[in-house]
Amino acid sequence: MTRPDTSRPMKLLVVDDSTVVRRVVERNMKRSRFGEIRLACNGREALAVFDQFQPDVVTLDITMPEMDGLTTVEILRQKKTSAIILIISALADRSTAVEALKRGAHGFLLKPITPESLHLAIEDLLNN
Amino acid sequence: MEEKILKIFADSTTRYFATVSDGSARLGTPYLRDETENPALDYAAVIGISGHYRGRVCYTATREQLHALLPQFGETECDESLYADLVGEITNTISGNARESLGAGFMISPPVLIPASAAAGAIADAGAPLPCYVLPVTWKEHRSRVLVTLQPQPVHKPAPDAT
Amino acid sequence: MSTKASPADSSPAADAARRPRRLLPLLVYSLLALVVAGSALGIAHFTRRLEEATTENNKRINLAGRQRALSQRMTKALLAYERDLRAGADPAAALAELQKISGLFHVVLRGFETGGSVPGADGKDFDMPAAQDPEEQRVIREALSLWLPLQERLSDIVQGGAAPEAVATTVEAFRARNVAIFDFMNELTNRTEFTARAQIAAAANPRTALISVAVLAVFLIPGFHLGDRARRARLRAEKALHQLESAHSALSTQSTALAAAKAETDRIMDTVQEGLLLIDSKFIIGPSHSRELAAIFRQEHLAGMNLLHLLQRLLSEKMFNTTRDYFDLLFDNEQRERSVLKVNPLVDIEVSFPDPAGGFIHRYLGFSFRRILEEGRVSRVFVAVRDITAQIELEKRLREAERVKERQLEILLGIMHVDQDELVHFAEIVEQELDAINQSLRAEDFAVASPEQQEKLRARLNQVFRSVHNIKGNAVYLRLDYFQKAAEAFETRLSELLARPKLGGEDFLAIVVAQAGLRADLGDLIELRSKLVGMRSAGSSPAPADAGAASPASSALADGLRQLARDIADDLGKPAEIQLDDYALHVVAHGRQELVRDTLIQLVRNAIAHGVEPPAERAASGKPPVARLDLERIRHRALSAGLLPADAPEPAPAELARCIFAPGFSTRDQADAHSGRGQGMDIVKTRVVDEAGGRIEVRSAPGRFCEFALYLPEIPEPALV
Repeated sequence: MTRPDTSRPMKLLVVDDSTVVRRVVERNMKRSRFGEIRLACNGREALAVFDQFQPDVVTLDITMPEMDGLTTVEILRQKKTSAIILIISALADRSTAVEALKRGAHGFLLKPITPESLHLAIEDLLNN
Repeated sequence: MEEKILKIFADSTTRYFATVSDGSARLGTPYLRDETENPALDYAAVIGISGHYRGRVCYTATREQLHALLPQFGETECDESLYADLVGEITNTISGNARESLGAGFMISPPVLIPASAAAGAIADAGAPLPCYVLPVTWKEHRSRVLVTLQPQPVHKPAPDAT
Repeated sequence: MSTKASPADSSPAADAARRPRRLLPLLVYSLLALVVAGSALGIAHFTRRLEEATTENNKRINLAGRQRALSQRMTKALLAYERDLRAGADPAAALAELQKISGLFHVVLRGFETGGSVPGADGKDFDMPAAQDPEEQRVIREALSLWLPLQERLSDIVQGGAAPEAVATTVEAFRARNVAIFDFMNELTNRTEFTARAQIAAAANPRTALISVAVLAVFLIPGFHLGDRARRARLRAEKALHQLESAHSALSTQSTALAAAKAETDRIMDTVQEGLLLIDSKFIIGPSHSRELAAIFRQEHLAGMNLLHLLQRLLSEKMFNTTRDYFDLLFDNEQRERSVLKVNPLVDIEVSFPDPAGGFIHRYLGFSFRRILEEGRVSRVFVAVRDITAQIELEKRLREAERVKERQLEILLGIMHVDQDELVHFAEIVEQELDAINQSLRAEDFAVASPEQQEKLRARLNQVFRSVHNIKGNAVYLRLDYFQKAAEAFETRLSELLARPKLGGEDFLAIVVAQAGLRADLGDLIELRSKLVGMRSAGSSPAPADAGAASPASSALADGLRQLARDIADDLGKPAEIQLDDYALHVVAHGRQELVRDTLIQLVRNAIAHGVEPPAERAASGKPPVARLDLERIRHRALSAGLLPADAPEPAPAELARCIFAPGFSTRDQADAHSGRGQGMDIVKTRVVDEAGGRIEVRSAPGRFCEFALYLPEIPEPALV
């Protein structure tokens, strides 16, 4: 998979059903290298904006109404996108994390998140 | 339900506050909900549990606690919808984190926000009269409660095909 | 569901097509069309009946069970109301509860009698049919004859203005009939379960048979979905028709029959309450499937979708893996069909649909499969799927009831010897103590960590201990081994907690769980007692429910205490005898049954466990065969517990006497069934001094006796006993 060019400002799509979480991610990522950030409340909304927005990074919750994160990641994978997908979920069992990676996510960050854990997870994926 | 399972929810709740805030949370003495009692505080969210367990997990908090907690996430202007959203996210996080011990068979739904006045009905299971455990949690002198109503599901054995 | 279709290549239709008698297939088709149409109607009819019967019966069983609980809540509310009145408290809450519960109880009981709309357990109104079963009708009639006079008295109270004497008479009347009403409601619950089973069997059996017929017929109509071979057979039949057209004028009727067969196929696919579909070797759902399938899967446009992927979202991971393997087996030509069908893992599986309103919708689906062969190879698989949630849930309920019955047998055998009134009284005590425990836990502790808070938690733990100890005392008194053991296990947990240097909210998790366990046991006890009443009244003497009031409770108490003393003495190998003045006991206990009983139970236990040593021990240490209270031991323990200042060398016996009433104080190193918890004397003190406002005098002559004198103030007004 080709990695995005990290020198230019990048685009981030934040998908979570919680406003507080969406805004925490947005607030913290705005200060780092993301030039444009869009928010979506569930998988369906994310898919609706994805093609046109073409984000470099997607953060994705799992437990969401309408379309959950695992389904979303599978559909995103079928789009042959090069976007990096970071799952941010409270589901703390190992098998969910394994399943998410198997379906095409690149990383898994456990809720509750802190600004530090978020930055570390994003940097880790971008520099890898 | 076993003590072990209640402990899992107590721990994931205290861990939540230890992670997101600059204070720690403590557990008060747990008790059983009386069938006529509504233990809901100002805001409440409920999560449906299925799989190896069936029942509900609810988290309920006072407005003051949520008001004090939101700045920890960088929110400066708080409103009703953020309070409700946060109570839902806390319910989601403590239930989801419980899967570390209970495994993926502990299936959780997205949180549903319920008006505090209707909480008693939402917490009680319409079917079997399961005990509802109330775990009081204090964070920086603010009150909140975790309500747990769970029944382990017997592993369903398919009957042999009649031929 | 079970189907008996033959594989397509040996079906009569295909065989017939190969034979020269070419008209035969058409006759077969038209006949089949009739069969299909007939059974579709029949299935729809029995399915409706089955579904109606199942949901309606579930609701009736639930309601009857709720009546049982309501009868108890009603009595509780009435007693609370009376208590509030006497205490001069505001009785409005108790009155409101009484009004609500009695109203609900009445409406639902009438609903069982004459039918009509009643508030259901799910909060929605339920249109209850009148009871049809003669046995149900009898129970309802008898319950009503007991209930209606009570209801009249209650409505006086509820409408306000009932004089205290009237309230007292109503309470009396309730006490006398409460148990009987509970028993009737219990009988009603059992009977509704019984009638439910019978009705469901009546609807399910013909339905299953009709489904088999219909599915068989659908298989045999080649125009619908049989393989190439069958299609070729049909083409041959049509060719034959063509050739015969000029010669046989009857032919037009026959081709109409063929069209009708196709139309009937479509119709059955629209009306049958079953999901019928075909999947190919890639598990893709074929273009035509029954309309019901969309309802079962809660999704439209199923044709062309992969059935396995569809199931993946609904099944647990483990079950999904099994299903995937099974689908492979279905299309594996090496496997015999019969063997594969035998191991169908999807006969009744649980699926979870995400609920748009939050949570999950749980359903049970039953799948059955048949292979379709073309050229000897499995080309497609016919799938029938049915929503069997209602049946499974009823089965689960019945199974759960069986399981509970086994567990209850143990309790049942343990309560056979106990007098009915004593059991009712025991259940009341346990309920009160459990309420007290929850009340002391409910005082949520939100205080910051501090020495005072530690003291508060410890005090709360001691309150809980007293309640559990009292339950145990009463269980030992009635020789209810099951409850004695449960209370002992509870006490052991409490002792562990009390020994911890620091207490936190987490430490109380074990308490609340043990409490919920005892509450479940109590529920069993109440239910079993009513069954026992049924068993006994079925025997020789059908005693009326309020006959127990005839024997004075104090003489039962005296008998019980004598038995208790004998049991403990036997257990400990210490010959001891209790002397009671029955008349005095009667006077003292008047209006104070529980206080006197709880106190005497603890004193008797303590007297024998601590006051009397085993004969061998006394003989071995050269002591005279006289029991004595060991003051030196008390002094030693009091010093180490910090109850006495260390520099007080020879405390007076009176000071030592005070020590034995402190919670957790015991001279025993190891607790056993009768002593060593350090709670018994604490209960005596709390009951007599703190609660009843009385006092206790202790006199003792070392080596000779120890006398406890309990003084109780008079009760201001005569109590209702």
